Amino acid sequence: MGPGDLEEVLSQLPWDTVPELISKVESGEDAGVYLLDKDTALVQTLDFFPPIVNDPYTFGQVAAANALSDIYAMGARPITALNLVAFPCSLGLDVLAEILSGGHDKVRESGAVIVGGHTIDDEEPKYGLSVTGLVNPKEMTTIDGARPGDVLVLTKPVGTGILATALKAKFIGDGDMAAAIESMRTLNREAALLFSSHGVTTCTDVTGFGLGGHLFEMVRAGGVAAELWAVEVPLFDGTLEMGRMGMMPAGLYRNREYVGDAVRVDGSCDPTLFDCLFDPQTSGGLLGSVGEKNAGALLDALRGGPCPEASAVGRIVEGEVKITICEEKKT
Amino acid sequence: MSADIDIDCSGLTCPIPVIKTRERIAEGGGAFSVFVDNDAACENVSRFAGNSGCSVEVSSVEGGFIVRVTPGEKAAEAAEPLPVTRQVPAGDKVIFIGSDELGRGERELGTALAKAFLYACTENEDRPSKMVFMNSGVRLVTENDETVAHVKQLEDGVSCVTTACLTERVQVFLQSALNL
Repeated sequence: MGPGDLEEVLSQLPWDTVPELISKVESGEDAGVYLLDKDTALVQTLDFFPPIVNDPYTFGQVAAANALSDIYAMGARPITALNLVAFPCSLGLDVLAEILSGGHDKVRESGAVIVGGHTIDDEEPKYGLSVTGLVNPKEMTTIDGARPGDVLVLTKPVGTGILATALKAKFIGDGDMAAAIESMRTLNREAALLFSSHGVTTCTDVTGFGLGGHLFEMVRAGGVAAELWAVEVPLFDGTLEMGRMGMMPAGLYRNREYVGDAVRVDGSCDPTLFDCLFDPQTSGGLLGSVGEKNAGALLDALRGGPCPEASAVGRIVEGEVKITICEEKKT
Repeated sequence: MSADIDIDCSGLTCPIPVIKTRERIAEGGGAFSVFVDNDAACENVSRFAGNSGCSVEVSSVEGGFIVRVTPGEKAAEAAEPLPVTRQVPAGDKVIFIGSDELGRGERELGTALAKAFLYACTENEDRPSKMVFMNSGVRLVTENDETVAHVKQLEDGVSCVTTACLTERVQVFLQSALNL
């Protein structure tokens, strides 16, 4: 669902609150956080979607890495996971076994354990997981702490939505998706550990709302503005070309509409590049708002380690909630 | 809907309208009109055609948009050789569907299986070259909205025929292709 429609539905619900619930559902936080005692909080999230790659085992890996990502975006450690499966038996049970095996291997890599699941018959397959993690609330990373002067650090390239659309249209083949697939099945665990060791306290993960949509949630939660430097945003090879070929997923347009007037372009920006900033991502990178003095060391550590394409993509500035897109980096 | 629409993409989501536009441009003909019923498809078709050497004119109509595409001199070439394109040729498989239920027994299960089967066909790399619907099978392409959507998606590269348009060509085809 697009972020605009979702917000409309959620705003109609009476959100009950208890003192132990320390995450704000309405602020666009990545996961729910429930305090167990003063040093321990339970972090809960879930995510599932239809296949975006052709290979079932890889799809399972990507879906699991994506579901685990919200836990890492909170600075938490995943402990248990439940499988969520919708599947048409006509596709063959061996296909389902492969999907689950991919998910299982990824969860094992994260250090968590699968404790069960639920399956329904559905004509279009869908897979995902509900994941539970633990965090010390004092070490938790939230979405609402961005402060003027912070540098915005993105850990993975953007473009999985456009490339998946192009794959579906057979404008590209599986081989052209290789880099994006590798990125989507890579856990955000190592990046989250580096964020934590470099004092990052404000973080979200880039998924369905696209870089622009998730950055908007971050600036709105923090009551600040941001500059986004379009050419500094890493893109997977082929993303711009396929965007120009009209391979933009419908969700991209919904994301762009959601941010609406809160985004403006300073000077000029290639319209396709602009739209790529709203491409819905599957298992995208972490977006951290990092104090300027730590940004350089964090980027070096990310690039030299788990995230070779990590980049400083913008900065937080004073002002009313909005995003200014500049093609070039501002100094 | 106006009669001068060459490609009707109602009910089709991205990227199918772009695929259909691309095929038309690659054929190398003159100007044509595409009807799309959603903003994303309108923007994508315009973007694709504009970047493939065509001039594009969009008009808002009831229920959607008409994108008028006028290919330039080099458009057919530009639409064809995408460096990364791999078009999967349709196989020589013919699927005959004579009922809106799959198997015999409980009707609910039979119709659900028929629906799942058509969905599985859309997901299969090895697509049939033709699908023939007869008797109550015709309902799958006329009455049931969900299966109509699957078949529409399949039509990209598959020709579907129903007994509603049972012509001489189809009868001959049935005899030879299915060894009836």
